[in-house]
Amino acid sequence: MVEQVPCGTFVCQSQDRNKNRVHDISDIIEGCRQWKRGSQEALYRQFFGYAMAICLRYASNKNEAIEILNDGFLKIFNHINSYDTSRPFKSWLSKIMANTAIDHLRSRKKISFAEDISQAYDLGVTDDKALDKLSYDEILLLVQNLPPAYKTVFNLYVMEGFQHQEIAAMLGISEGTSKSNLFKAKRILKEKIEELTSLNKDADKIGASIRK
Amino acid sequence: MSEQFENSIRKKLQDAEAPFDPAAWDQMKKRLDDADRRRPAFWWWSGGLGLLFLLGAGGWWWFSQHPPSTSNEPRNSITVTDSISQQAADKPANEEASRRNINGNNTAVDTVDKSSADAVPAVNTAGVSINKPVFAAPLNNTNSNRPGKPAIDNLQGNENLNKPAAGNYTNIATNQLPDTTREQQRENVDKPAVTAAQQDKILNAIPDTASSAAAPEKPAPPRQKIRKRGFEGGITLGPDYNTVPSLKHGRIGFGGGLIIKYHINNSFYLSTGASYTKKLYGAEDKDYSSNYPTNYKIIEADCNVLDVPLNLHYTFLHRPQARWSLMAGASSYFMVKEKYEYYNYSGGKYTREYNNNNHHYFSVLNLGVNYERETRGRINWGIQPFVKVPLGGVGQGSVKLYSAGASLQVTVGKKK
Repeated sequence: MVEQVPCGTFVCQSQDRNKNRVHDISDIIEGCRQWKRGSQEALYRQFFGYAMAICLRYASNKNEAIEILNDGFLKIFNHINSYDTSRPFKSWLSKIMANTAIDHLRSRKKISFAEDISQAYDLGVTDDKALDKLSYDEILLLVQNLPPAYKTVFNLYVMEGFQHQEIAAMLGISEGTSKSNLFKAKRILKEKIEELTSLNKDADKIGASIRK
Repeated sequence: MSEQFENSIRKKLQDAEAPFDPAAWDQMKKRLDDADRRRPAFWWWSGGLGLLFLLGAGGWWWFSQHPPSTSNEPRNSITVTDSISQQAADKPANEEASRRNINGNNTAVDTVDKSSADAVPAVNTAGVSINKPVFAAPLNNTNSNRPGKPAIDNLQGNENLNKPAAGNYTNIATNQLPDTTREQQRENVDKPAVTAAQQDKILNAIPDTASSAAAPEKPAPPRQKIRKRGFEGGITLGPDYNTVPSLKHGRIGFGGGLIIKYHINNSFYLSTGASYTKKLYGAEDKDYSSNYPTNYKIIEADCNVLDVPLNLHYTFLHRPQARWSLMAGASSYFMVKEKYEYYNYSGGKYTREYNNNNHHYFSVLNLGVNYERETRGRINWGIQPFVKVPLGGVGQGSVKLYSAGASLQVTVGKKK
């Protein structure tokens, strides 16, 4: 059974078994504040899956994702005192993971955001069926293979729910650049999805086309 | 539609939760072990308190090694003793009693007892009248140990003289003996100079001796009584070393400003003011607290801070040439300008500047020691080594910024 839990700017789903654990979260965080290793491990285990899913979207592979994840958790443990307990922990965690990922990409891949003021175009009609036919792993792979700059904006906007203004401030780019990067990311994804579904010998034609 | 595409892909991606990977935790654990390091804040706290303790203990020791007889007033005592030995050479018992008093080895009561055995009332008087200038007044009509004492006091003192303290002492001393209590007698020990002077006066029983007794009192009035209440104002300036808790990338900055001191009494004074300080330091991303921690190799900070302190000082040692005080208090930081240069691992850099964006009230604990030179004029100067221990984060990144330094303080106060 799957239940919906609000976590920050977007809605995420968690397993029912996690429901009971939520009651312990304040104790775990208190233990982390005291730098207790047991509490740190409990926090790490409890949020590993959620955090790892975020990191995987920014990284190119699993090892890189783990590197980002551990960087992020180290920040969480070091800065646990600045966590506002009145807000959802997942929201805070996802922001930290996203920021850690951005910095990681910046440092390793030397991503550069070319200034671009071109407008975001409508991608046209989306074929949900094409997406449905692809697995999580396949789509994840497509996202991972996006150019770092596009991938970063795509994740921040689509997955983390940031606005272009916020993304621009976070990345030190203009809003126009953020918008155009998002558009380009989506266009590439769309093309790849179409390509993939064709390769999967899906007989259906993809109705979507890029329309200016 | 574009939005629909976003929703579809979001739905697909966010459902997933990656399975736990024990190998990842092992790596994490190793990093935590590395990070499970010294707690620098603890060393700053204990260092500051230890410094204060050492200086306090050192001061106490110094003080105890140099009893009051060598401090401000002894010169008077010695001079007076000499005059006694000259003028009262034919009264060895009295002189001996006087010297005992001067040395402070015997209580006034002892002196009274011993001297009453032979030389009798004169010595008693010596043991009694002492540092209460009111008693000196009727004899010499002019001098008192406390220049500020009004003549009326003297008259009152004169009235007291007519009340004999005890039957034994009344003969010669009747006119001179005050209404002495044991408490007053004990004061003899503290201020033997006048005791001797009084003794001298009584022995000679003529007003002329007053001048000889008064003479030694003039040159050095007790300094401790000078300052008492009052304001002092001046400037402070000096370097300080600023660092974040990791103790890496510390830099030396400089500050200067105005200082105002209010002396509550001779032991305590308050100080406040405003110092404009340039705080330079380097920090790593882990030193920064924010909702968006980031991965930077180093963040170079250049902050102009208006430091408004409120400190309490306790003067634990008065020396003829200097005063030593302990200082504790808190500072408010007004971040006038903050400039941060963020360097990431790839060598890239970007700069952020904030103007007058952050105010932190009483967010930094001040601990320090003051060494102040004793001067005769209006101008005082001193050196103040200090540490500043953060009670909270300061600046845009809520950095726990520690500082240690020394400042030179020059102030103008009341004329002494």
